[in-house]
Amino acid sequence: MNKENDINSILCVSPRVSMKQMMKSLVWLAVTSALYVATVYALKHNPQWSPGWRVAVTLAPLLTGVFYLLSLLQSFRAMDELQRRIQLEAWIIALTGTVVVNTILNVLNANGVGFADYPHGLEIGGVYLSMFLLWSVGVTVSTLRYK
Amino acid sequence: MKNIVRELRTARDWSQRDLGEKLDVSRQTINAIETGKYDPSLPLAFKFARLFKKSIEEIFTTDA
Repeated sequence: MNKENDINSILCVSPRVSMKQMMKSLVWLAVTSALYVATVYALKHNPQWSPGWRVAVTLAPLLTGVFYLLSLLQSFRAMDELQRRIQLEAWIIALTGTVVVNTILNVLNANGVGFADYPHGLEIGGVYLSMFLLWSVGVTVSTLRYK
Repeated sequence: MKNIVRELRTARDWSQRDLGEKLDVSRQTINAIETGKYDPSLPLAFKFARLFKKSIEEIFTTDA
């Protein structure tokens, strides 16, 4: 058993998901995030840009986002069946949990109990954060369940 | 579902990791199957049967 598989074992990942594959996903995520921040900054400081150019710049992170998605799918396909189940359960918790959180915020707001910071539910950043946190909880709970 | 995977594995002096490598699954998956927390898919059950040269019914049995 080599060192790479030892690390995968600690991370509860199938030996078929290589470190190289996981790093590839993280690199695409980092590139997408950096590009997103750069486009937001560029759009804010260049209000004179034409609408067409602004749309192109706004959508630029989607390109690298697609590569991130593809690398995630590659990793998912390389997982063994138990790891796929754990990931599926975690994603279900993340998606449904975020919907529930957003619904609660909207209902509270509609009934006049809304929070000042969330008048229309979670914004896109809040959605990402909620999904990431709930996915982390889901992976932890599912991993412990099958341990 | 009950199974005799642990008995079959230890009889061959294999670790969970060894068995996982032979079946192309993680050590956690082998552990979850041995402890009865996870029931393998039919393709994986066939892999167990082929590896241990037994029928699926000999390795895996229902609780009832």
